[in-house]
This record gives sequence, C-alpha cells and structure tokens, in this order.
Amino acid sequence: MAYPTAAVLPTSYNLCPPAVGDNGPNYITPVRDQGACNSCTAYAVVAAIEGAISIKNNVTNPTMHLSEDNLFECAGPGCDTDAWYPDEALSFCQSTGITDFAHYPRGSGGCVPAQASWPNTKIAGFTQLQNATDIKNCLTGTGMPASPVVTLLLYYESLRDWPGTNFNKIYKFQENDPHDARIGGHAVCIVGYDDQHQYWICKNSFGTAWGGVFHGFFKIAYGDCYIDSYRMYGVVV
Amino acid sequence: MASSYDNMATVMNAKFKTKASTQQEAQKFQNKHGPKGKGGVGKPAYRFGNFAEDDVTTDKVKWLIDTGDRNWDTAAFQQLETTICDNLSDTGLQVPMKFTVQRGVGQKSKAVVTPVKDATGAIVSYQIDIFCRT
Repeated sequence: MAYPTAAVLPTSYNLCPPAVGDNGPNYITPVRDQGACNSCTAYAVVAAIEGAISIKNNVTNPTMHLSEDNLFECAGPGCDTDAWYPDEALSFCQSTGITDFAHYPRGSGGCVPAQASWPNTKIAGFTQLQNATDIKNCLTGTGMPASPVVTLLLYYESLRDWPGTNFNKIYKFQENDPHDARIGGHAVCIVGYDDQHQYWICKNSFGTAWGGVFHGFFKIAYGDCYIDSYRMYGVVV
Repeated sequence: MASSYDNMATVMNAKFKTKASTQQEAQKFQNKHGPKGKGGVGKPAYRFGNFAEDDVTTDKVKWLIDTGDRNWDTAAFQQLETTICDNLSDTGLQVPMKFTVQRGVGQKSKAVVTPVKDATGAIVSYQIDIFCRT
C-alpha cells in the first residue's frame, strides 16, 4: 500500500486540537486515568491504537474504548513495575489482540481469558521510529500509515506535579528545580507537534484533572527527557 | 533490571578502587553537581544514577529509568544517595567505595551501606551492596 509523501512536513500538526485550545477535527479518544498502578504503557499503547483506528476510519471525537486492563493484566508484568517496554505490549496487541472496555472493565482482578463472544481488536503491526522526523512522518501519515506515537520519557516529579496553568506552558525539565527527583520512566502518546515553538503535544494517563487547562494533555519541549530519541512507536491498524 | 547495574558496578568499582582514584572522581562529581553535590548555578543536584550516566555506553536511558526512586525502597535510597554524595563532596572523606549487585530480591530495590573502619575507628571505605528488585 502506498502512502502519501511530502517534500516538506507541515510546521505544525495536531490530531487533537481541543487539547491545546484550538479548533479542528479531533481523532483522539478521551483522557483516562491509570490510577495507582504503573500501567502507563498499556494506556499509551491503547491511546495510539484508538487514534490510529479513528484516523483510518475518519471518525472524529471518537468514543471507542479498548480495554487497557485487558492488555496490562494479560500481558503486563504486574502493577508495581517500571520496566514494561511498549514493544512488548504492542506485540501482544498484534499477536493476541484486546477486547473493549465494556467486556473487560477496570478491576477484573487478574487476567480474564477472552471469550469467543467478545469483540477483539488486533493491530496489523507496529514500527519503531528513529528520530523526531520519523515521529512527524507517523503523525501526519507521510510515507507510513498515520498514527499517534507511543513514546517513553524520563519521568520527574516536576512532570507529575506540572500545573499547566495556561495553553502557552511548555514542560521542560531543565528549567525546573535542579533538585527535581527522577521517578523513573513513563509512557505517553504523542498526538501533535509545533516547530515554531518547538514542542510535542502528548496525551497522558493521569485523568482529566491533571495538567491544568490541558485536562490531561501536555506540551513538552523537543528533546526533553529523551521523549523523541529513545523508544518511539507508530502502530498500523 | 539488574543488567544495567551489573555493568555499572564494574565501572564504579574501577573508579572508586583507591583513595587517589576516588579523589579524582570526587573532583568530577563536584564539577558536575557543585561542591556539596546539591547543585545550583546551572548545575543539577546529585541524584543516584546521574553521576554515572556519562559512563553508560549501552543504554543510558534504561540506566536512568532503573535508578529512578520509584523502583527503590525509600529509606535505602536516601541512605545510598546521602552516602555517595557526602563521600564525594568537598568536605567528604573521599574514601573508596565497593559496589556489589544481587538480582531479584523483592518488588523494590534496596541497598545496604556498610562503613569499613580501621583499628582506630576511622572510616577507610564503604561497602555498598545493591539488591535489585525482581
């Protein structure tokens, strides 16, 4: 299958304009809350899959909800972990698939075997991206199928407590308190970018009460916390 | 998780093997994190993992993720950071440190810091045993 190519990428692009106070078609499902469990990888992967499906089917303001718990409880390493890398979660979504939230809600208490009557969503594949240009190509569907991007970043207390007081705020670790503690790693989903102001737009999984005016999203500076240079993946649905 | 620690224990033990080599590393530490390791004037405060990050060649980000405090027993983590920071500060003892690493002992990583003393009771080195989580 051939995908459109572009000599020059757009200088800004956003799959979820309302997240940053703009108007435009939204292909991203609502922000969710992972709760106390270290299940960010499952939430970021599900967010990317839902977004990719919405883009492919041209569904705006999507309401679909795949089950993060199905993914985490049946494929993840357990609640108190910091070491589940996205490729492992994506591989499960490709080989086995996950059902929707209605059939596998929160608090199922361990992996519940899938039943034949449940709907099952599999991805066709996933691609590890190498750099920021790859991320932009993936978001815009340039040379590859369009998809939000799952990424890992170094996670500091300043992001956990980030206030997001107005839409111009861009998170940048280096500008924060030098005593800022490094908590570990965190997976989020990149949904947009802006070259002029040098930031990515990300969907987090801390609920809509987090992030101030962004209601669960945040802007983060290019290159910050290894967000665009470590482990980035686009999905193919 | 233990693999990134294994590699670093080897590197750290070479750096902190003798009093002289530890003093050399202490100077680098102070240049990077300030004389007391507390940061300031454009320098980040010392956090466990940060001083060693420049020595990681295979997967620096994994090392920094693994050494984040989420993965650690809080009290043990604070003692570990304090011991290293104090030892390498400008007023610290700057004595050798020997690291060992054991794998898979629980849901949180722990460290046991044991001062090694001479006949007069003076600390001459630290034994730091890291117990990685499962």
